[in-house]
Amino acid sequence: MLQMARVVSSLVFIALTTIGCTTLPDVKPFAESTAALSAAAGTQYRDVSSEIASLEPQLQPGESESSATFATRKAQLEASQKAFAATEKSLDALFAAMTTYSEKVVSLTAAGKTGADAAQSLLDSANGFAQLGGLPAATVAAPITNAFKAIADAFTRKQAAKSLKEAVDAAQPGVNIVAEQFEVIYGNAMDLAIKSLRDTRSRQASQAAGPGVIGFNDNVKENYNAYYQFLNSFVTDFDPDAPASAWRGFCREQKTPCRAKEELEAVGLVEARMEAIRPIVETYNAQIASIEAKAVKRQAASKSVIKAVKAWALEHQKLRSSLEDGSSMSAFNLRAALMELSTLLGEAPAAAAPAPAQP
Amino acid sequence: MPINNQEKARILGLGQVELLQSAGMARIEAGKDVSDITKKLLKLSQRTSDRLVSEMATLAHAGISSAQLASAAAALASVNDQIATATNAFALAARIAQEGEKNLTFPFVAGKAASLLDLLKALQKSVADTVGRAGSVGSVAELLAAFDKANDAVEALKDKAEELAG
Repeated sequence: MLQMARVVSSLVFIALTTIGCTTLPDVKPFAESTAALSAAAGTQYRDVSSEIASLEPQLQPGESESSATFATRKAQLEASQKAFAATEKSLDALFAAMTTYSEKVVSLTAAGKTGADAAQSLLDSANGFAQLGGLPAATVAAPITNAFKAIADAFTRKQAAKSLKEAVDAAQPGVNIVAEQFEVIYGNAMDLAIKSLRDTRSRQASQAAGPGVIGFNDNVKENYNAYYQFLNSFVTDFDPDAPASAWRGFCREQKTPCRAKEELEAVGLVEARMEAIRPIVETYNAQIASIEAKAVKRQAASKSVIKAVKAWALEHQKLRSSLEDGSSMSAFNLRAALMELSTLLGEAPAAAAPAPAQP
Repeated sequence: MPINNQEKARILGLGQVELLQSAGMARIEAGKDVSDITKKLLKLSQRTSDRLVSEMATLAHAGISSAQLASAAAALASVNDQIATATNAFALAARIAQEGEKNLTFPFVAGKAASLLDLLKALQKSVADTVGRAGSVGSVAELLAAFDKANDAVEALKDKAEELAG
């Protein structure tokens, strides 16, 4: 009996060698990262696109609706809004296709790892070899059944690997396009759009502050010290024990009647106006700081999307390689890039992209 | 007639707006950054005491922002076809993976049980060869009979798998 089992075992080995052993890679990290990347890149795009959609053509001071400049800007805005909306739709379809593809790859890999179970299920449904063969289970039925399951397992993996390779090969041109074109979308178009939005919002904030207000504030701030220095240059012999000497000094070089009083009254008026416009200036400064910060954050997020997409394309290459040589995948760089992106977008890292552990 | 200071300031201001606007548009066409130009125009619109200069600077600023956005839209238009091609590639790949998975549902048996039969025959022959080389092995006849029965079992499995696979 023992000898028989040994013979069968050796035959199982021969059979497995004949079919060939295939290791299916763990593609889950890739699929999870694809979903996380799609979500993050979509969020970043929509953030900019929705603000563009909210813009309305605005008449500038001195312009009328029939002005050629207004008509040009209106047409440019409408065309841009259409283009951004159309691309958003295209990107949504692309992200959905990328995610579905990666999910199907995971599903196929999982199915490819259930050969033995599926064979057992078939054996169960067919009442097994023992009954069909009329043999006592304790003798040869179990080794043959196990042999059948082992063969089924190896065969299934091989079939799954073949299908996986075909699917991954079919996706590769798409991966290449995404890696190249995302440079244009997130590198070029988004950069221009972000700057355009920043400039538009800054101009609106300036106009909301009122004509001349910000300029007056800036001019005074820039010239205030110079003005005081100018005044003080006359007060060279100021004597604290004789305050009137300051006036004398101030007027010392003047041939014309002393204008110190008028000058100081003018300074007082400037200071009063500065005080009056202070809330407006503070609001404006806060708005500009917020507009600039938003632009900087968006630009960093766009760069981060490009970085993550490059890591993702590389991971897809690794997936192809691992189907060839059975090497494992960690998606470490991709996960790290996605962590960075999630942080920039102000979102908690997606469950799909847990903190990467050093490989 | 000599021009007064106010007129002089206006001429200088408008000249500055014109220069900045031309430089800005040229840079957009060349795909270069215009941030410093828009900042200068905004400052000019805020700081000048001449209303016309301020309005013209604002108008130039708005024109440059608008041209930037139009340039962004043009860049997007150039990639839409590519994005559609990529989407199709992923859809095709997903379909291939799905078909592959379907073929594994009752793993290969319906289509591949015939191969298994061949394999079992090879196993049977290997047993006979092994026994031939090893000389007398106990219960060999019983083992060979088991393989005969196994052949029948696989045939039955094939039928069952075909039935299950529809």
